[in-house]
Amino acid sequence: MNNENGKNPLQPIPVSAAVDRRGFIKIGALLGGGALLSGMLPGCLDRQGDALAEIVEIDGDTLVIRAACPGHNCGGRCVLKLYVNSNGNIERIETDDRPGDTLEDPQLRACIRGRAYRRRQDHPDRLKYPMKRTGKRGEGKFERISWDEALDLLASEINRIKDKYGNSAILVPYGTGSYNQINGRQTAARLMNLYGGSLGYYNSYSWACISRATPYVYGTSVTGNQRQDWVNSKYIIMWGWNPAEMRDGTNSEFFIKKARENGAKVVCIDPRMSMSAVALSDEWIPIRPGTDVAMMSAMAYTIITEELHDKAFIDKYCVGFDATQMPPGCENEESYHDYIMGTRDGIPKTPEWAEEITSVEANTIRRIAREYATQKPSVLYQGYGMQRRAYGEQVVIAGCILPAITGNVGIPGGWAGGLALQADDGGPFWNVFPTGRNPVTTSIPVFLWTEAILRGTEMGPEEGVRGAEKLDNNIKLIWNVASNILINQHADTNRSAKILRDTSMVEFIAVQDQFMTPTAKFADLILPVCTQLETWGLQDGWKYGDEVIIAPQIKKPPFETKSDYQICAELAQRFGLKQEFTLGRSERDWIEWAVERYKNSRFPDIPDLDTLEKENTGLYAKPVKKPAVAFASFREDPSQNPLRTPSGKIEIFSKTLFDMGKPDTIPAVPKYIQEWESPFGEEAKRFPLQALGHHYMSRVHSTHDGIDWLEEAFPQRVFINPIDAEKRGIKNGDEVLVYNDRGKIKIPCRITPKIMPGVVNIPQGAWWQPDKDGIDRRGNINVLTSHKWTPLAFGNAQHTIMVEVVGGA
Amino acid sequence: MKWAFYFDASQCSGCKTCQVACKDKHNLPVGLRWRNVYEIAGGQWHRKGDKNWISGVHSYNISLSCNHCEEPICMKKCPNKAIYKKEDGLVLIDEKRCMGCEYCKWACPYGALHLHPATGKMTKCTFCNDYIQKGMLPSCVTSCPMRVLEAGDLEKLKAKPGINNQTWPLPPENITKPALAIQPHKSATQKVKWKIINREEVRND
Amino acid sequence: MINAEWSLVFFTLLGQFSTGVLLCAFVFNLFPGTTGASAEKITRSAAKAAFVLMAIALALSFLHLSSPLSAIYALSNLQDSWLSREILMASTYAFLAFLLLLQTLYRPGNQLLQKILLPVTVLAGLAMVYTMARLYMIETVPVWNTPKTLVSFYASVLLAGSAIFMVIFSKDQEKTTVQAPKKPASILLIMTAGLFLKLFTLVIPYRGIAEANTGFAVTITGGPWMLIHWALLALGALLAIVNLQKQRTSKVVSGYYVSALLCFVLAEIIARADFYASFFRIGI
Ligand SMILES: Nc1nc2c(c(=O)[nH]1)N[C@H]1C(S)=C(S)[C@@H](COP(=O)(O)OP(=O)(O)OC[C@H]3O[C@@H](n4cnc5c(=O)[nH]c(N)nc54)[C@H](O)[C@@H]3O)O[C@H]1N2
Ligand SMILES: Nc1nc2c(c(=O)[nH]1)N[C@H]1C(S)=C(S)[C@@H](COP(=O)(O)OP(=O)(O)OC[C@H]3O[C@@H](n4cnc5c(=O)[nH]c(N)nc54)[C@H](O)[C@@H]3O)O[C@H]1N2
Ligand code: SF4
Ligand code: SF4
Ligand code: SF4
Ligand code: SF4
Ligand code: SF4
Ligand SMILES: [Mo]
Repeated sequence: MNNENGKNPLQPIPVSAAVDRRGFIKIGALLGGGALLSGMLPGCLDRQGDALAEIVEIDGDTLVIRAACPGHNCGGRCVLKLYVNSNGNIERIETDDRPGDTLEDPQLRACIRGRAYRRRQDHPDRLKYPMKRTGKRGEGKFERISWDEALDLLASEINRIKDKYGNSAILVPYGTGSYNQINGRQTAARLMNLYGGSLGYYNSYSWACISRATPYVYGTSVTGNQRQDWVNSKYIIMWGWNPAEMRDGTNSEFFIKKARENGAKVVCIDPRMSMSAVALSDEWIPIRPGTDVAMMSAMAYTIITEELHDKAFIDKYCVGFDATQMPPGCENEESYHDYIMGTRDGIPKTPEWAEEITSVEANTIRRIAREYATQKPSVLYQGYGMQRRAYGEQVVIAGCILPAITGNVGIPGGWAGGLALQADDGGPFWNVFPTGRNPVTTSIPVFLWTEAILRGTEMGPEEGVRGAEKLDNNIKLIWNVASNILINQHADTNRSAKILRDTSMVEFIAVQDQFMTPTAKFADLILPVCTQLETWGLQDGWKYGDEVIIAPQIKKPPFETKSDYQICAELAQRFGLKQEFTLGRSERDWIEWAVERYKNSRFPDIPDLDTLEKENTGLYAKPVKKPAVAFASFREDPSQNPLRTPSGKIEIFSKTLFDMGKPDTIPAVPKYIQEWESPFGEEAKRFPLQALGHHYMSRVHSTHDGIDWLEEAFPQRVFINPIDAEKRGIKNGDEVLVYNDRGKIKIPCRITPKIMPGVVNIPQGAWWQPDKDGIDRRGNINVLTSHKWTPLAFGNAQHTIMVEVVGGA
Repeated sequence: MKWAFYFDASQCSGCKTCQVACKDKHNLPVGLRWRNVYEIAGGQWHRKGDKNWISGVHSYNISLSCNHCEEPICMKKCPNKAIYKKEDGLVLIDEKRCMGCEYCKWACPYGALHLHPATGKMTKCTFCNDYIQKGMLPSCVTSCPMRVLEAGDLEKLKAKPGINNQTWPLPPENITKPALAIQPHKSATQKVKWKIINREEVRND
Repeated sequence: MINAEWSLVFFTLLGQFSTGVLLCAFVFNLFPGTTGASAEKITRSAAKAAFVLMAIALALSFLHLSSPLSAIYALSNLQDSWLSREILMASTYAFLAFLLLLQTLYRPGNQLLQKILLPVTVLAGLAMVYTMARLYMIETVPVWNTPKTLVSFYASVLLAGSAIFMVIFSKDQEKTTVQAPKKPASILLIMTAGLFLKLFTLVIPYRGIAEANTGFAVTITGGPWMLIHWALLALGALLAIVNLQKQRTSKVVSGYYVSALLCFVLAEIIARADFYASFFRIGI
């Protein structure tokens, strides 16, 4: 018929392992027999009756198992339906096929990465054996060693550093590779916490500014309604938000579609005509990167001058809007109203003023302001890209205040803005595997780890250090689990590489991963980890979600790979902590335990693991019949249910921020501040283009880079507008050089009108691949990004950079 | 009943999940795609002042496989009668009869036919015939995170309001009578010079 | 070029050249003109050439197939597919050309047989060229779907066929007679007709290109290569004329014919390669 019968052009890794876990034992024996299966299974079914059929679903000679997608840190959580053949290999992947697919309980349909997972799972380049560095650090030369040797080495190095410097010289860095409980950095964190701790960190690379700044306004980060509520909105602004390309909760894009079907008008504000602009919105408004606060301020100007603001709401629920509302002690300070009207600085924040800065026409700003303020209830959803920028705190707060002054807070169909974790309870836990308390109480902002290597002992609270006046130690040992931060995902790759190459600074680096990543190349010791399909696991939603998805072990770990949990358990044994670490639990036991955790908290009705496994839907989902609305009770009765802000109200003016005494960088009301690399600055003379690195469809950060089906679908390119390309004599597909003072990238370009002139985009996450001249040939945008952090959150501003592009490279 | 695809171009996010679902289902190597997602764009940027830019740019996506046409030109052209149409509308290729002359491929105006590099046989979307036989829907259809792809009865799908199969760059419908119902993107009505801007990703050679 | 269709370039050209040679042999036999050549010998040489050309053509056509074993089904769709019909006609013609070769080799005296076989083979050849042209006239390929295709294929038949025949003719004459060679006027007429057909293709319009989505067009006929092609045709014609002048005075002139032939063949290869390269389809 067709080429299903033809030669299979894809070569999976041969794995002899048969499935041998609980509930599969009978089938497992058959699986061992391979070819036996096709002939015998139906007979077996007859004989054994329904009991077996309940445990597994059989399609011809394949088993069908529904499981969580190893989503890594993808922004979603979805169900994969895995077809496992008689050799124990996954031969096909479908997705959630529960009937219904309603708004309340939609299918968790996998994205392109989940559907391509076989190509990652069966990739020939997976790490197979423990390895020890032979060449210089960073050179990428290794030799195979045994697990015993490897674990002894890691144990002795941890002991050595612990003895010589103390636990606070050890860092288990940020790493988002896995949240399935059994795999991932949380396992290492648990072990270190049992063994005296390691240097703490707070914040994330994702949300530094938004999670830090939101509570100054609202006293909490749980500011989001459950997403099903979007269908009650009349007007939705997706501000720098791109849920069609980056996943921000499985189904967010689908819910926006539903809202539109319900009559909502959707506007997308983004320098790129993202797929969300194309597929989810009625209107796209390109804006110059880093200038959103100017537009937000001009919207406020329009709203206030045209009296479209909700005065009653402001009076009752807010402080600091104008001079009448200033907090005690700040009566004479600049209110939000003052800033917008230009009372103090002499610059009214008119749409004309904003047009010059943002490149958005004044009339458009006015129209959007009117629409947003009058077509209520309305949503202003803030993406995280624009807070991963210089002064990223300002755009967060400004985006919280527009909902407040228009009275969109605490009502169905409205949206308070900010981080918007899901009401009522903050939503998914992500990680329930208990890491325990860290005996080292000192912590640093996550983004500042290179500083803590270089001059940790000089770092204090002014650089975000918590729990100590100064750090006790510089970082001396890094145990990097499920992370590509060290080289690839942190800013200024060339700088990080230089720091890490110096073995006198960080004395030992262990990397636990599935692939030879750019970070792994800088390891002294590499430990090969199995995939999430090769161990037990469990996930709930990413930012949103009302479900728990189980991840039964599909295959045995191939070659000499082990789960992170098992590696840690074996290390724990060397520290004499085996029992404390494992509590005698197998990997599956932990998942059983985790299900119990959900039963006792978010989902009292969740069945036990055995039942979940037998049902083989892969998940427990709690339908959202009546979506929760954040701040509903506050709205109902603010005196009974005050916010956890100092005033108990929405703080348009924050006295806390005011008291920090840094009005230029941390103003008490949100202000437009020109970024430190800007088209309006001196630097634009040499580097006239703003460069973004958006989160790409083909990858989860650096995970999935180089997976053939994904690269085919979304090749790594620098995207550039035809006007900028023409100026530089660049033709579509040309290799171009993108550079600034920090580094150089040479990759092919894609000319597209779907990005503003003056802006280029290099999707973040490509694996750094320097050639002999140090020019990255794969397109890791972090070669160009800056290590400078934001003033309040000490957050990464990796989207704020200027570059130049030349053709004929 | 005759099977057909419905595709809502107005809300397709170009995420290519359908493309990869198909590749996985049918084990297609890199370079061979039975479903392609075309990124269409047109329009101009307008300068305002000395540094500002106003967009006159429009864009939409088209996800397209074989349309199992009512009058398949591929079938008519094939010298070997290797292409046949079933009662239920599915147009399939009998690989044993195919000699790989590529004549069908020249003719199909939907770029739906692809020579398999390993087998040397012409291949294309099978409408996931095996699934259909089992009462399941095609892989691409059930994969779509936006739920903009559907498979169903030709008559019914064509009767949906707003269908317009003449969305650029689709050829005149009368050539092959595709079993396809497209809900066009609002911007498709714009009189601009459209281009396929991801040619590199959909190239077929 | 769609998938670098060189095998098809040469298959179609050689098939057409083969037909052209036999067409000339046929006309030559009807109107030997003022030649002193032995019709029998020349016909045999023509049959040899025609057969060899067609054999190579067929072999090349197989190179184009990725699953040649399945070619056994190629005659399944005579009712609808011009390719099916072409394959039928190409095989028929090749077979007849083979019979003709056998006849000229082993039964040279049997004039009756030749009188039937030669015209039938020529007819089959012309029919083959017709099917060849029609198969490219695909509704969805506007650059091909025009009478231009038909006319230019027949132009190849006439031009290259006559040029090859002239070479054969003059070579044979060199060997066989002591007289100054005479000219087969009929063949020169065919050559002239070929040139006219080529010129005629210039005025045949394309159909429906304006409305078509030219999105995937690689090249549209024209450009520097086509200029070279026209120059070569002119040069070939010139060489043929020079040859005619020389013929009055000298015996050894076939070199000019060979050069003219080379010019024509080269020109036709360029034109045919461009024909394939110009492929684009409406739609996607
Ligand atoms: N496919 C995919 N999905 C993912 C991830 C992934 O790697 N791949 N990662 C997940 C994770 S961990 C996170 S934290 C989130 C990240 O989610 P985000 O941070 O929201 O994603 P980004 O792509 O960085 O930015 C979103 C949009 O902001 C735009 N943008 C950039 N700068 C500006 C600006 O100054 N103003 C405006 N208005 N827009 C701007 C970009 O063009 C982009 O379209 O995504 C999650 N989802
Ligand atoms: N320029 C720029 N840089 C950015 C961003 C940006 O927008 N722009 N975004 C930032 C954001 S939001 C984030 S969240 C970070 C993410 O940065 P990271 O947390 O480093 O995420 P990944 O790059 O996905 O790296 C995860 C690693 O874990 C490995 N892995 C996967 N599964 C497992 C497992 O089960 N066990 C183990 N041991 N390893 C596993 C993967 O192979 C991969 O190498 O990047 C940040 N970096
Ligand atoms: S969104 Fe995440 S969990 Fe869902 S399929 Fe994609 S990668 Fe997997
Ligand atoms: S999966 Fe759906 S939304 Fe994504 S490209 Fe295909 S049709 Fe479009
Ligand atoms: S789309 Fe093309 S391949 Fe499919 S049936 Fe129609 S003509 Fe044939
Ligand atoms: S390639 Fe195969 S299916 Fe297509 S026309 Fe030739 S023989 Fe028929
Ligand atoms: S119906 Fe099946 S074969 Fe056709 S494009 Fe969809 S997944 Fe591929
Ligand atoms: Mo993130």
